[in-house]
Parts: sequence; structure tokens; C-alpha cells
Amino acid sequence: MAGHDALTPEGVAAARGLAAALPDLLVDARRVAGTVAAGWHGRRRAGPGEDFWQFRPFLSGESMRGIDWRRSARDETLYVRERERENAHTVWLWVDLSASMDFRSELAMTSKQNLALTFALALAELLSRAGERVGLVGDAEPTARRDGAEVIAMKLARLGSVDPSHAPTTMRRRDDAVLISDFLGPQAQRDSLFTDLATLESRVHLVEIVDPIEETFPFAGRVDFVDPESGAHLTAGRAEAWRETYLASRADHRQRLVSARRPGWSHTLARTDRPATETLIALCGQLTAPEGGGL
Amino acid sequence: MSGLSFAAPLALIGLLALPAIWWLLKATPPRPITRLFPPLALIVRPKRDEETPVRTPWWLMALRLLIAGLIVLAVAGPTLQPAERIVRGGGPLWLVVDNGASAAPDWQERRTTAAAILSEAGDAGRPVLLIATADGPDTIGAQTSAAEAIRRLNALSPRAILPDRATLLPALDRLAASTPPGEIVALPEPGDNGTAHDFLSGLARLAGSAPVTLAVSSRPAPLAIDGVEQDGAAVTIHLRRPAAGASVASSLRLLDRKGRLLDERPFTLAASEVKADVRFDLPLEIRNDIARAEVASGNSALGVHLLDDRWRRRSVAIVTATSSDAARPLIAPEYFLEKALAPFAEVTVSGQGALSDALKAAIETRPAAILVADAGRFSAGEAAFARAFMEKGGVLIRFAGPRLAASDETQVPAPLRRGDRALGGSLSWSKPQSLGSFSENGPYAGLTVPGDVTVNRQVLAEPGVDLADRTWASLSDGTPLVTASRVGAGWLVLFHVTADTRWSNLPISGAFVEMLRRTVALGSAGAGTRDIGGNAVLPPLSLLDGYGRPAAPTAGVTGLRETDIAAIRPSRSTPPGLYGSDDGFRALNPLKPDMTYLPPDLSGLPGSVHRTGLATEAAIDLSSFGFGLAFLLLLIDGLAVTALAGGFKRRWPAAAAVMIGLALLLSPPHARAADDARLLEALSATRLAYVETGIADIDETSRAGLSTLSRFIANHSSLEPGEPMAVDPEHDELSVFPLIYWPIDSSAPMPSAAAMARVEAFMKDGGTVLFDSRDDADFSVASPNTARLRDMLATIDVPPLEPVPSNHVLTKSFYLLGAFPGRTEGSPLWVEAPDDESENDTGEARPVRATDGVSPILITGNDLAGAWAADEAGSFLHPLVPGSPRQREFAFRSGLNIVMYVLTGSYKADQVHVPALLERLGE
Repeated sequence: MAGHDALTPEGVAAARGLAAALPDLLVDARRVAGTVAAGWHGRRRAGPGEDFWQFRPFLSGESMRGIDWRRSARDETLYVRERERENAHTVWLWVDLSASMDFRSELAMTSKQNLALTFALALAELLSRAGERVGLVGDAEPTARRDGAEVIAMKLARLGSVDPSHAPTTMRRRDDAVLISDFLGPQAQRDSLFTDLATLESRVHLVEIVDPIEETFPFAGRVDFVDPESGAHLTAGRAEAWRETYLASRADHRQRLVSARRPGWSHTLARTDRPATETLIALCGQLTAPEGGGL
Repeated sequence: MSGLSFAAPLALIGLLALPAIWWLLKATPPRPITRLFPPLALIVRPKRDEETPVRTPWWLMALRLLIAGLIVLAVAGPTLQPAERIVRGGGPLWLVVDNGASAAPDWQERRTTAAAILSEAGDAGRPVLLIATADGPDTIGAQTSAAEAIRRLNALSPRAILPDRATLLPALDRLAASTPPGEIVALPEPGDNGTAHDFLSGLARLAGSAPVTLAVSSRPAPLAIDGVEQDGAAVTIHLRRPAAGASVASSLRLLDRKGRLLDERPFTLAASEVKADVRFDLPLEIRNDIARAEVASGNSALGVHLLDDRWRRRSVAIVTATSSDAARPLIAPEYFLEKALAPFAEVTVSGQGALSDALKAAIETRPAAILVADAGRFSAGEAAFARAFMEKGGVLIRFAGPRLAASDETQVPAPLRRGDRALGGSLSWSKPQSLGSFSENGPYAGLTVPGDVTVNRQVLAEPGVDLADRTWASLSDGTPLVTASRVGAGWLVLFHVTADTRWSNLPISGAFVEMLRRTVALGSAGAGTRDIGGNAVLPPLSLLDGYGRPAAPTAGVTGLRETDIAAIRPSRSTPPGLYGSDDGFRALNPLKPDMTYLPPDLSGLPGSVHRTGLATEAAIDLSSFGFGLAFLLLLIDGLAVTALAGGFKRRWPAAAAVMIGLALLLSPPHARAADDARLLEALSATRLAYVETGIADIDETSRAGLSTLSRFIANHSSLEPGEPMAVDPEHDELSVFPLIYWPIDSSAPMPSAAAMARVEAFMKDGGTVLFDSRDDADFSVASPNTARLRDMLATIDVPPLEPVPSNHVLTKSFYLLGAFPGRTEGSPLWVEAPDDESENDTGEARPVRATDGVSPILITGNDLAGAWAADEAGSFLHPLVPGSPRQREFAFRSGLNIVMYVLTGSYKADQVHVPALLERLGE
């Protein structure tokens, strides 16, 4: 995981690059979040939960158990301590920072990783503004601070690449999870993560980041393909002849990803040649959708 | 026997590698484009494409195979139509090479063929005997090794003679008796003097059963000049060739002794013709200078004809019988004759003593003609002298006169009546007769009859049956004026009037000169030329080699007697050329009219004699062609691969390199057109120019500065300069600019010597160069920039310089200026110092020093352009030092004054006198 990588020179360099990019992305994310915030409706409602929400005057007929005596003792009125409604309070974010994400073709506006980070930070900003708690997969505690974006950014810079095969141990049932990745990693690892999350009855939002070149395969002639993750080579004699089968295989892969969803899960496709706001709006829609046993 | 052969045939084994190359090319794909592609795992190798991971287009494959094949072929050293295998037998090889004059044009081929034969024999280890026929029997040695023979062959050169082969056979006979030849190869030349047939038959006989081969060139024998003649009016050159053949178009040249071309005339020898005459109509003066006639493309001594001084001006002797005329030399007959003869003949007058002595003295000078003015009857001795002279081809021209009229002379062309006939005298009814006509048969045929010639008195010929035939010119009443008769090889000519103007005005008419010229031209032969050596042997002066070029005499050349020159044939000991000394020489020519010049008679040779051709006439080395083509194809291949591997967009540097390579190979330079366009643009307006230093900000300052100055000038004066242009003294035409501003920077590259020479020429032609060291230099201490300037100017001629004196026209040419500031103002402006003399002349009194013309060079250190330079909006680019308010204005004024000075010169200097002049006019 992250800690191990960070000791190697490559890891240090990657972490430095990430740390250098994050402030800019943070600004970007704020901008994006600002655009989206107008349409964002927070869940600031009282309800069963653990955290303090507000005091309100006692209404006759209510259970006495709800009276907060300590507060009530300060003046004439009886107060009821309301707890914040807490059904998917914590949103766990996971940003895939593997090598395959650090890719930008000439057709794209930004690299996949930058887009993913923008999403993550914008979400963190939005969620923390809305008073939600934001957690980072790989990190223990979610944060409830209003400046959640900064916190997440710092955590990202500290943690680096995390490649989880299990849900965070601190994750509670029915927490939301937003997985931002290109989902090109090992299938088995992904499956186990999904199973874990499903067990927690988590609502999972898959944000699949793709580069346009991965969608269109616009190659021709003799092309030597290199996998940035493993460094593996594959030489195509006539790349144009490979297009059909690649696109078929790609669609197949997507199908598998989509069908791996449990009920209530969402899948959003984010292309790096499209503005981040577009996808973020869609994602926020998914997050706030009152569906199933979710919100 | 034509076709391809290879210098290194073993290299052709490389062609076997072509299939391997084909396989490799198939297996080795073009370099792929490497692309990062994260979803690599999703790429499925298509089944169909599995067997053809790479596919080179078939044409690319073919192209590459072609390149490889071409390189292999080129390495093998192909030559087209190489030396043919001539040698057939074994044992000692006799190689008989004709090195006469007709072998000269294709001597190179002959030598190559011979060398090939010799080296073949050498390869086989056979002894050889090299026989050069024109070198005579003495040079036939013993058999040698082939290498030795090749050395000798390389020393051989064609001689200017046709080989006398008859002398060779006995020597060869003796040799064959001791060491019989194993094989004989002969290279006969195309022109033969009649000895070839016997010689070749003899060789065949010597060879016995050994093979005999004749290698005959396909090139026709060279054209030969066998004589040059001049009649009265033109030079005729006789051309000859051994046999009719293809038609020949060439030209004939006449050269003088120094080798200068006097005339060249094309001629065509039709296919069926063997002989041709070419006529040159030349003025007499030029005709006398002819020393050599040659066929322009001949390249053989046979096509050369040398002329000696017998050809030159004919010497003519004038004999007067009496010396009484000497008292009045300007109306004496000799005077008229001398004047008439002078344009075309060398005249000697022998009038001393008795007629017989004079005649004898005259004949001893060996003139072409002797003119005798009014002599009476010749004595028997004199008549014998004269007759002998005429028999040898001389012309005796006699003039009538009172003495002849009174005598009964018989040494005249036609019998004369005693006494003379007076026409138009006071006691006569008849009128002076005019010249009637020239006989069509005589030498005067074709002359225009002058209308102004009148004859008052003449001697009359007795009418006779042949009088009309002997008459060359007659009067209008039919009586003969000039009669002539043939005597031996010469002529006896009588003018029936005096040689002075007593009897007629013929001697002072133009027709007289022409008549005499034609008459004298009849005189020829040895009678006419100066004796230069008599019986003495004339040493060789300048000989001809086989190619017809002058060559120094070699050993074995004996020299010849002048008397023999007519009879002698050119030979090894007396080769063609000039003999004698520079003062007088005789020419012996390669071919005389009576000499045989025929194709060698190869008929009647034994059937065993094998014939072949010279094979080396067009041995073309094809290897460079092969390499060149392979390189070209490689470039095309590069283009094709670039296009295939993703187009030119991504690989434009490589593609550009290939394109440049192709362009260099294929396209003609278009630089000239660009130069012309630039020149036209430069000429479209008067414009200032600056030299580009190559340093961007200096160049930009120069451009902006001159541009702003041009606007300033346009605003303040009637001169509206165009936009300034950058010039490169290395290449650009400078002369179209009046003033070139040259900022000096020590870090800029030093201009080449050629560039400085161009600048010097520009300055000499009236241009002005303004050098600016831009560092406020006072030039007493060398700053880097001034040191560079000194280095630059060291190579050219710079006039003495001085700082602009206060009365220089530069200070007054537009504004009145005391100094010439620029960005700085400490540096003086240097101009050409006037000559000391003019300074003395002008003195102190004159208000303006009138330098004649403009200083070609101005030097300052004030960085003028830096002060002028402004951007488009008009704000100045550089601050001024020290920056007094008027410094900028004065910098512009300096610029305007300099431009005005350059354009108007000293005109402005004269302007200062105008008030004074007007004042003076007013008074």
C-alpha cells in the first residue's frame, strides 16, 4: 500500500508530484463545487443518530426521555436534545492513484488522475459544506470538518496510492462510498472490495474515469502499446485491424463492471475530454437520490 | 562484344543475399510507434492478424530489394562495354600498334585496347613484343614482359607522319627467325600511305599458323588539309579524306603565329565526297598573317597545315632604267608604282646602274614580280635574265613610255608598232580614251571598270590573231591597254601606258592598285621568296606532334635543306613542322597534295586473319550511377516509411530532412529568382540599408533606427526614403544603396575577406558606409568594437581619415551642426581627409571645403541608430547618454545631414556661394 511505495524513489517522486498538483486541483475542485453547490441539497435534518444536531423546546406529549436536563436547567424552558439524522452520514472516497490513472492522451483535457482528484476534492468540499462526514479509504477516521476538502487533500498527499481489496474497518453499515477509478486494476481485488461493500449494505457510486483514446482506439499502422502499470508491451502490426475486437472487449469489461453493481449502486462514466462539472452534477444527483435503503 | 562486365565480379555473390534480405525485410517490421495505453489488458490480439504482425507493402519491399541489389551491383564495379577479349593464342605476342597521325584522334582508345591486350598477355605470362610502326625499325627490341611493354606503351604517342611500314618488315623477319611469334595483333590506323597492305600481308606470312588479329577502329580517318592556296582574292583550303563515308560538318580555322584565331568557317563534307575546298575571303592584311590552318575538331596533325613566310607579302622589285627621275622623285614612275604596290607587297627598288645590273640585282632578291618602268629594248643578256626569271614563275610587268615607243622591243607580249599614239592632242580630232573593258579570261575579270580613267597616249600593238587573247584590258575603242603572255611558269605583262601620269591618269586611280595586285599575285613559286638558307641545313624550329600541336624538336630529327623542301616527304627524321629560325623558316606539312592518303587495303589478306574492333570506346563505369540511384531510392524509401508510420505530422523533422535531401538532389536553385526580386525591391525606392550583425537586438535597433530616420527625413525634406533593408555583404548586391549603416559588434562574426572586398568595391563605386562602433569610442584607445573595426578595415583600402572639420560640408548639408551626437555624444565622426593639395588650393578663405565627391567611409562611435530607434508607436527604444533635451533632435539632424551629404555630395558646398553670387549679379 501507500506506505511501502513512498519509500522508493519512484514513490517519493509520485508523492511529490501529487502534492504539487493538489493545491491547484483544490482550487479547481472549489470552483467545480461552487458550480454544483447551487443544486445541492444537504441533509440537514434531525433524526435518529449519534451526533448532536440542535436543542429545541419540549413539546407536550413527547417522551420525557428526550429532555436534555443540563440545558433545561439553564432557564425556564425544557429543551429536547435532537440528534442529527444519521443514515448515510459518512461518504467514503476512494481515488485510484495507480500508474494507469496517470495518463493523458492528446485527445484529453486533463489526465485521468487529475480528473479523479478533482472529483474527490469537489465532493469532499460539497459534502463537508453540507455537514457530511467525508472519509478516505485507507484512512481510519472520516472528518466532519467544514474544510473537508483541505483535509482530504492533505490525507491524499500523505497516503498516496491506496489499492483496497477490503472496505475500511471503520466503515459503518450503510455508509456511502464513491470509488473513482478507471477500474482497470485486478478483477479479483475489485470483486472482493465490492463484496465487502455489499455486505456493509453500502451504497456505492462507481465513477469510471476514461480517456477518450481508450474509448475510441484511434490507432493505425504499426503501434507498440505499453501498459503504464506493468510496463508490458504489445505490438500491433496493423492497429486499425484491432479496433473492433478492442472495442468489443472494452464494452464487455464495462458490462462486467456495471453488472457487478448491487441494487442501489450507481455507475457514472467520466471522460477526461469533458468538463468535470458535467459528471459531478450527475454524481451529486446519484448521491442525493432517495433510492432503496439508501438515504 | 558489348555489355556489362564487373571489376569485382565476386561481389556479385552478394546478390545471393537478396532472398535473405527479402526474408529479413519481411520479418523486420518498420519501427512501431510506441504509445502508452492503460487498458492494455483489454486489447485482444485478433486471430486473423496473428500471422502477419507487420506488413511491409509489397512495393516498399520491392524498393528495398532494388536498393540492396543496386548496392551489390555497384560494389561489383560494373562497366558497360569494357575491353574486349582480343587475345586468342598462346606463346609470344606481337602487338603492332600504328602510331601515325591518323591514329591520333582515337589514340586513347587504341592505347587502352593495347594495354588491355598486353595485360591479358601478362596475366597469361606470355612474353610480348610491342611494335610502334611510326617509330621505325630501330625501336624494335627484344621480347619483353607485358609490364615492361605497358610502360613503353604509355610512353608512346602518335607522330605527325604516316608510318613507313616497309622498313619494318626486314627487321621483323629477322626477329621471327629467332623467336617466332605465337600470335600477332595489329591495330592499323585508318589512314594509309600505301604501305599497309604489304606490311599486313607480311605479318600474316610471318605468323605462319599463329593467329593474326586486326583490331580496326570504327572511327573514320581524320580529315586532312593537303594544301592552302591563295589566288588574287581569297584563300582556298583543300580538304581530303581517305574514303567517302558519313557526312562531316566541322569548321576550319585560320590562326596567326601566336595562335590567335583569324577566321573560322564551317564546312560540310557530304557523305559521298572525298575532297572539299573551303574558301576564305579575307582582307589582304589578315591573309598575310595566316600561319596555320587547321580543322577545328581534327585532333590530328593531318588536319593542320603550316604556312611559312613564302606565304607572306610577296616581294616585288621595281627596276628603273634611268636615274634622271631621281631629281623629281614625286612624279617619277617608281613613286607611283611604290604607292600602288605598298598595300600588298614588299617593294624593293633597284635603279642603280645599268638596266642589266638593276635587273640582276632585282632577280637576286627573288621577287614574285619585277616591274620595269619605261625601259627601252632589253639587251640579249637582260632578256635572258628576264626570261629565266619568268620561266621560274616570275611576273615581269613592263610599262610603256617614250623609250619603249622609240625602240623595237621584242620582250613584250605582243609586237608593238613603232611610235606612240596620241589621243586628244591639239592636232588630233580624237578624244582621250577611257578604259573600255577587262577581258573575261584575264586576271582582271570581275573588276569594275572605272569611268574616270582616261588615256591620252599609248603604244599600240600590232593587230594579230592572238592579240585579243593576250589582251587583259582594253580601251573603249578596243585598242589594248594591258597585254600579257605566258612565259614558262610566269608571265610577261605590258601596260601600254606609262607608270606615271604623263600618258594617262590610270596610275592614280584605284583600279591600278587592284590590277597590279592581281598581276603580282600571279607570280609565285620559289621565284618570289627570299632565300633564307640556300643549301644550308635548316634546323627544326617547331615541329608538330601527332595531334597537330606544336612540339619541341626531339632527338633523331635531322633538319633539311631549303631546296629539298618541295620534294621531301615528312618522315621520322624530318617530321612536319617549321624549319629554320624565327627570322625565316620553311614549313613542312604532314600531307602534300601528291601524297597517298587512303584507307588501309585490308583485302587479300589470308583468311586466317581475324578482324575485330577497338572495344574500349565507351567503357562507362556504372558504379557511381548505381550508388547514386541507390541513395535516391533510399531517400524515397525514407519518405515512404515516414508516410506509412503515422504520416508527416508527428515526424515532420525526419520528413523535412528527407524532403530537403530530395530537394537538394532534384530541384534547381531558385535563389537567383529570389535575388532578383530582392534587387527589384531595393531599387523601387531610394532607401537606406544596414548590415545585419546576426545579433537580434542590434539588428532590430538598426532597422528601427533607420526606419525612424527615414520618417524623419520624409517629414523634414523632400526626400522620402523607402523602408530600410538589411543587407548581407557576403551575398547581397550593395550598389543599389547610397548609404549602408554598419553597426560593429565584436561578438558578431568577422566578415569574410570576399565580403570586405565587395564593400571596398561598393565604396570605390561611390557608395558610403557608415561604421558605428556604438561604444562612445574616441578611437584613441581600442575598445573591442573598434579593434574589430580595425581588423575589418585592415583588409581594404581606406583613405586617410579625419574628424569632421568645422567647415566640412557635412556640417552644413541640411542643418547647421557642430557635432554629430547619437545615443552618446562623445565620439567624433570621422570622414575621408581631403588631399593635401586641395587643402592648399582651398586655403582658409573658403567657407566650405569642397571635397570633390563624398567620403566613402564615415566612422562614429555614437550609436546613431540607437538614438533614432523608435517603435511603431513612436516611443524611443533607448535612453540617451547624457540625455540633454536636444540630443535626440540633434541625433536626427545628424542623420539627415549625413543622408543629404551622401546623396548630394558637394552640391551643398556650392550652395553656400549662392548669396555671394546673387549679390555679385545684383551689382
